[in-house]
Amino acid sequence: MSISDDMLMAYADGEFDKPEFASERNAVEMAIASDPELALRVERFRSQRRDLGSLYAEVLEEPVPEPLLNAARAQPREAATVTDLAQARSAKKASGAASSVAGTTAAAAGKLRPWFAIAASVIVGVLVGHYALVSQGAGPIAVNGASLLAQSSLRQALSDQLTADQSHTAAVQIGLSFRSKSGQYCRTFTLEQREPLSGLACHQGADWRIDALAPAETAGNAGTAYRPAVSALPAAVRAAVEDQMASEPLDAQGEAQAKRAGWQ
Amino acid sequence: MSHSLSQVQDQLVALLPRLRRFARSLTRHHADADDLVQTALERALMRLEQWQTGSRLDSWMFGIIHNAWIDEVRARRRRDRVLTAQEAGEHIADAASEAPIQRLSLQAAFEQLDEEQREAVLLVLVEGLSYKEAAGVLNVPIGTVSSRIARGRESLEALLGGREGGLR
Repeated sequence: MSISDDMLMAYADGEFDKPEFASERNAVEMAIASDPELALRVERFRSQRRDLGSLYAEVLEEPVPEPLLNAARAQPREAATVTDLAQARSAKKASGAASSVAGTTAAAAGKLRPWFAIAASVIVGVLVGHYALVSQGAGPIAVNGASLLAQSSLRQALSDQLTADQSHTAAVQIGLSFRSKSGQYCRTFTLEQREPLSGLACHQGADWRIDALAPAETAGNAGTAYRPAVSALPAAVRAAVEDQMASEPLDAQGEAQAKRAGWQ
Repeated sequence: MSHSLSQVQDQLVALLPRLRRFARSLTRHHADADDLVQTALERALMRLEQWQTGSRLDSWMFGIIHNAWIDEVRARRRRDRVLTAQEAGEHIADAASEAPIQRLSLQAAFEQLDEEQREAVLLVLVEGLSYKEAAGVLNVPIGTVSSRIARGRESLEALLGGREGGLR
């Protein structure tokens, strides 16, 4: 049995210590017993591993910053909702903890946030009223307590419409679909009407909960944009997407699968 | 569930130095690393029910940090499209100035590795996870972990000019 460098490395890393790898272990040990060159390779891997043990030793020795200790001890929050996010942000600001990983770029991104934070209350009072979205319960959006739920044509489009075969003339255009950090499926949409609205809806129970809503960008072709890039969405919606997206957007196949699974 | 919340939180506190080290190796930036750990802690506490009692809490947390970093890198890319090049450039310069100019130490050499290699090397060679455990954290096949470690090791040797051990 010839011994590859990968096998020597795995041996040095203790990968063959388990009984099920006894034959690999034997093979390596026989080989290094008869070939000093191989024995040196193994020793080299081991010494590299020993040296790396001191990597960032200073980080281990530093006292852990207070905000992290507090974060580890914090009471778990409920899955992110519009209100919770806004609260979490102001709480974070109040505690003086850095509010985002992004350092300088966070400051710029932060410019998007106030919009989003006020969106929940503003949506109900202004947008919904202005756009007559909840006219006698027949519009695309229903108000349910503090949350907004998709209904009628919007609900149907969110549940049924795949971007791969949606018509450019459909009254609701679906944009990105993705899994949120709390594991829900979310989709961005644009309501094509005289004054188009874009938003983000996440599937919750049997409903689509509207997490963000704002007048669509009027970048000329916004109304007919097919699968708009995140950057083509209104800032409030884009911020919500960035906050919630856990991984890459779904591709056509992923979307079809999610639909078959009832967006669960 | 055999662990109470406060017991798990005790374990999290005990893990913090290692979580900070992993985050530091990913971000190569002090403040970014701590923000990343903070994000991961919040996410972990929000979905504690997804952690299977009996499985390693450290591996689970490494996985959450890994995913949070992927999100962060993606978000930065999206933001950078919006930002002016100047603003984006400031951040990069800021990160670079953190690293003192010095002869190539093991740490400096490590920071030259690409992100995938840094993660695999740190989890296996520094944290002592098995290839299989690291594969679980990174959500890749074991063979991928093994080849990232092999490439990482080669690069380190090359960067340090075979100084370590001095055998060749």
